[in-house]
Amino acid sequence: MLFNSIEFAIFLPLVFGLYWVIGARHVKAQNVLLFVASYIFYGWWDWRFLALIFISSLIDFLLAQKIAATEKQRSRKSLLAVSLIVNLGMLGFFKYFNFFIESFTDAFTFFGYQFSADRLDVILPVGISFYTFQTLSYTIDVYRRKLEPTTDAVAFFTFVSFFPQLVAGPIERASNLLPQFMRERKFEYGKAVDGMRQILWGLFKKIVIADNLGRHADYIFSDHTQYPGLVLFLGALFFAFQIYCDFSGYSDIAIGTARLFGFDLMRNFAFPYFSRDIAEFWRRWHISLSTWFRDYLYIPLGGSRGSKYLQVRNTFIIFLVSGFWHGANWTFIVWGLLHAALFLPLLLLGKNRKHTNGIAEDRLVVGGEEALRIISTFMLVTLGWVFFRADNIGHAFSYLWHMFSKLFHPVGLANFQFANLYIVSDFMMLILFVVIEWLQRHKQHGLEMTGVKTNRLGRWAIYLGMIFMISMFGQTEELPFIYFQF
Amino acid sequence: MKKFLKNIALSIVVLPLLYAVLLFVYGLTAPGILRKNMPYGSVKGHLYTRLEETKTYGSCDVVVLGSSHAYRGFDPRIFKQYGLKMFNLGSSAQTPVQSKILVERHLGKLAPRLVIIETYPAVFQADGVQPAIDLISNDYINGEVIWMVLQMNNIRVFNTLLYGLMRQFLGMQPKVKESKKDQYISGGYVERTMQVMDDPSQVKEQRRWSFDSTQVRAFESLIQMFDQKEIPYVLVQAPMSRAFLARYSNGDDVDGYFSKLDPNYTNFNKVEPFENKYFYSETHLNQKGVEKFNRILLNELQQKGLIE
Repeated sequence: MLFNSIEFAIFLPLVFGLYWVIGARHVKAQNVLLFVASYIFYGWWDWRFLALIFISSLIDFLLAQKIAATEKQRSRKSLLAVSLIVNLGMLGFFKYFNFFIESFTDAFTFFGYQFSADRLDVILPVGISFYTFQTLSYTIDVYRRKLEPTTDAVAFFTFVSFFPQLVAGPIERASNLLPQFMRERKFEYGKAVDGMRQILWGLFKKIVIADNLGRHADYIFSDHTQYPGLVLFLGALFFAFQIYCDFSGYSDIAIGTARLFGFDLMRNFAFPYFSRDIAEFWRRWHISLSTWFRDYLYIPLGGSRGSKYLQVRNTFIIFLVSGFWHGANWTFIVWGLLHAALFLPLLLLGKNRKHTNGIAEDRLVVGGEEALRIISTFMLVTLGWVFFRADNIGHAFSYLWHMFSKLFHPVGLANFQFANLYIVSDFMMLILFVVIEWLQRHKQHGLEMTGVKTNRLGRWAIYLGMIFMISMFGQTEELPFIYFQF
Repeated sequence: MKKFLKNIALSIVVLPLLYAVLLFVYGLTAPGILRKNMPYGSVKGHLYTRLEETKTYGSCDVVVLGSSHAYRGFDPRIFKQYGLKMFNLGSSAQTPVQSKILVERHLGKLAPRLVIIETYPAVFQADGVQPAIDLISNDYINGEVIWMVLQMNNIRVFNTLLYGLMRQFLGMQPKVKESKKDQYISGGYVERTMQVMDDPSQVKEQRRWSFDSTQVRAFESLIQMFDQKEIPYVLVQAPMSRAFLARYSNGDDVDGYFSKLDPNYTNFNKVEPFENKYFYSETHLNQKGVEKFNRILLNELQQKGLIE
């Protein structure tokens, strides 16, 4: 079920109504409702994959109790290994099996050996990378004695499958979300209203910005050799905003929806395109995944402690794995390594935590130097997105080569036709979006109104304006979110 | 919770009203390029003029239904040379859903002895958004049109309907700027300034026609309606460029389907080849092409005894 679908527009109020009719005092009954709703939500795509979530949840639910019950370090390690093997095994099978088969075949062929193996005709279960990491965080935290295992099966199963964030995050930590399933959730007016605003903002990002710009980006990437460099740059720029608004739009809707049910999910994006260097970008982009890797991979590897060699190694490992997490394609690996290469100088010079303060604090307009930093970081990130978007490595390099070699090619923009006639309104919406993001950069999301003096008329005018813009300028097709494929 | 539900209920009542007002004001003032999802009056094809003419045209021998292949491909002046009074009730990308509405509204005034239905396969796989916008913008809105819009579930059509309803309520006339390349000819025909198509693009990949079940249902119900009212009809497929036809691998299946519905069905792409010089676009005949096609068609209909 897509957030931007009629089905969800019916599903959400229905579940919301039943949930609060049951009442805050009946936590278990509310959890049962959320569990059933989450499985319906997920099963809407393909009910067969419900078995995977169920198995993954069951194994971690049982293993965590076993881990906590034994004091023998060896047994604890073995039990954790079972959890890792089962969860990562399922993820690896569905997501990476064909990639490894193809890569081995290519490698053998390259060295003149004959090797053939059949690809498996498997469908990637939606959101498998997200819920696998979420449930793994639970067993790892129990193993590390940071978390007591739960004996409430319904709460745990609902924590793994919680529908607002099931298919594309934020990847929640058990230590943050699981306790919320145990305690009474009270309806808070302010929280629910802000949740609604965040949902509205997420829908605007997805339907108006991401889906419209995505069409132009698809058009340009599909036939890039025909266009001058400036158009290719525009294609990369469109994709940069498409991927950001698509993914962060999903996160906004997820966080907003969870708030309607009295839950607080972690923040996943913090206006990343205003970052002043790559290190700051990674503190603002897909925060739940970055911090997951930091806590469960980077720090156990030694983090930024130890020799320069170890620092370099750890940095490359974390970005490589991060790239590979996104998909079974060399394009994602190169994208990850490119970011590692951009991050590394900052780490080695000890400047990776230089920009931890707010952007242009107490000022409306950014200073010259800071503006240059923001623009140059955005440009680097945008170039990186070319690898992320390309069909394969050859496509990415060809795209970049054409972009730079024909940047000022005599064939100008005039000869280029956009994917639809309404490019003017798409540009206008993009500019409006960037302006709102800039004005709201110290808030949680684009429509947060805390600390802003508004009367009811003003607020309703804003809601009406947003709804009108979604309706007038939004993409009319229900397009899936990009991160569902990861 | 009470306050929240009260505000939700209030917004369900108030926001749609404010939305409608905003949409109307925006529709009156915003230029076309900023009316992406409310393209009222954006479809060219002289439908308003055509429908106005039905009021005074009187009864005729033949009525043609279909997409632009119909209103740009069947010239009443050539039919007149054969002693036939023809009216072309085609409209832009007209799908069977809209054909049915137009027939119910306007066929009675024209009282034809034969209906020619042009069966361009693309309209059978279309979502019908464009012709729905055309219909809303150029004809009156009633319960049938509202039902069609609700079934389509498309925000562009919905916004156009809402705006069209308010215009209709205030008695405002439709306003469509037609292309300067086109000339409306009495009898519903639209003549394009003579030109010949550019060399067609290369075939990159083979495609298949895949009909939409809603359109198929509407088409079969239209045929059933003609059968019940005992109005003679004939299905035809007008000529298209060979380059365009070569892109589709299942043209024979499409012909098979139409032949089952009408044994007199003729695909004129198979009767006589039409070279590129007879087209102004890959799927539209130019005036020379129309003249050639219409003569072949009328001879064929005479041979089959469908016209005198």
